Amino acid sequence: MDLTFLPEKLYNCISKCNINSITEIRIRNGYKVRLKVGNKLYYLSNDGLTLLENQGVKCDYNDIQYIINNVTEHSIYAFNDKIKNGYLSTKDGIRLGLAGECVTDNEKVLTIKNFNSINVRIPHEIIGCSDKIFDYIYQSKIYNTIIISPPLFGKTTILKDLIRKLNLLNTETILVVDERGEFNHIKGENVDYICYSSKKFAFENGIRVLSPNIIIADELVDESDWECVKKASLSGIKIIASCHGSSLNDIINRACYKNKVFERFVVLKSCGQAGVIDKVYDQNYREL
Amino acid sequence: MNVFIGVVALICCTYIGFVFSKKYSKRKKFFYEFSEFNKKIKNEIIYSQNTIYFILKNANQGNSDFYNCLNEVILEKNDFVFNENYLDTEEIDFYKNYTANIGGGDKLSQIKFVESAYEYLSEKHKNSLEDEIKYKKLYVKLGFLIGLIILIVLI
Repeated sequence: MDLTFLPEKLYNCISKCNINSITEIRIRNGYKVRLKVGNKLYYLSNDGLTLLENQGVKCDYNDIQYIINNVTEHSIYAFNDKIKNGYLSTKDGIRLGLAGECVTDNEKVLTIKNFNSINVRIPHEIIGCSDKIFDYIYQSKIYNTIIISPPLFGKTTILKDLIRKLNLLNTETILVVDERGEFNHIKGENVDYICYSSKKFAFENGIRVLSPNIIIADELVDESDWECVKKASLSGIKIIASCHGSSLNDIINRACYKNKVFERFVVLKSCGQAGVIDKVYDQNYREL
Repeated sequence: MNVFIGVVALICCTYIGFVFSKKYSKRKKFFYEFSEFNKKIKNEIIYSQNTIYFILKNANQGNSDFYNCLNEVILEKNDFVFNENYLDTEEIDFYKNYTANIGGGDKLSQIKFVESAYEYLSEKHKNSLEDEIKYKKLYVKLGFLIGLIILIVLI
């Protein structure tokens, strides 16, 4: 995991921690750096993790600007579409959530400036974390599936593992719709990627030119995302997607929810590791 | 013996003239590279949107004052230092301002920034080219002439 985009003082401290256990690094202007490990929050000290605030390493505006410059490779113009959506991603698929002053024109966000905090989300690859879910998704056929959980429950990690598994089947052509560049390090001979585009573009063009059997998309958010999924499923393509929510009702009660698209609803639960199933429902919302 | 010393003086003076004229070649090279970089970055901003790191790492830089300084500031994150004497203070300030601002804004503001630098750089490049043609030969000829005078006096 390449964290060299961090200022040297932070990088040296983080190097003393077990990076694989860290899920988030929260960097705020004028405050101590906090690390999320499992469900617990720690401070970052010169010796690694600590619970003592007075030993924590503090960050300032220059540190935040240094990170932005490094990740954007001194080229904001090339990343502004992401910045105005509140995030950046590194080549390793590390996602940085950004907060700062939005520059607007007629309520449209043009960019974000004077960043005051960054949330570095460390992606994890856990081989086999989708084993149980895979048994529900793939029986005699592949079911249209949506994985539901609040943030940080491992939806993206599971999707990455599922891509790997489906690739190994060697019978399916998989299209990964990767809006934020979080999947681009997962390779496979049966896997095509469309990165950094809207879901609408990726679904429409991907179906037309890449003829996938399965489309994998992370985080369905608004009406247009659900519309894309519905159209793709009507074309006979199987969909595996994820969505924020804490229960099945959170999803089916949404105004943008499209009925009869998904055949499997997998709700995850939090227990400190990715891919732990809470409940699985079928297309009639009956628990399996 | 006098002939030998005279010939050595001739060679030395011509060489000194050549050394003086190098300033103009360096200026021309600097503004040529600066101007080309500016054009290239405009294309990158509008079309492929490659980053400045990418452009710098893939540029055929050779031994270039322009790229050396840019690399130091952008890739190595050091302070701006430009010690060559062939640029005047105003030109160094422009270069410093350019390195500080390039890449630091969204697409629209960067296109405006690059376009505003375009005319200045084109003018500078054109003038440096004319100066080189004008003064390079002049300095070499002047050095040769002084050397020749010394040779004649010694003989």
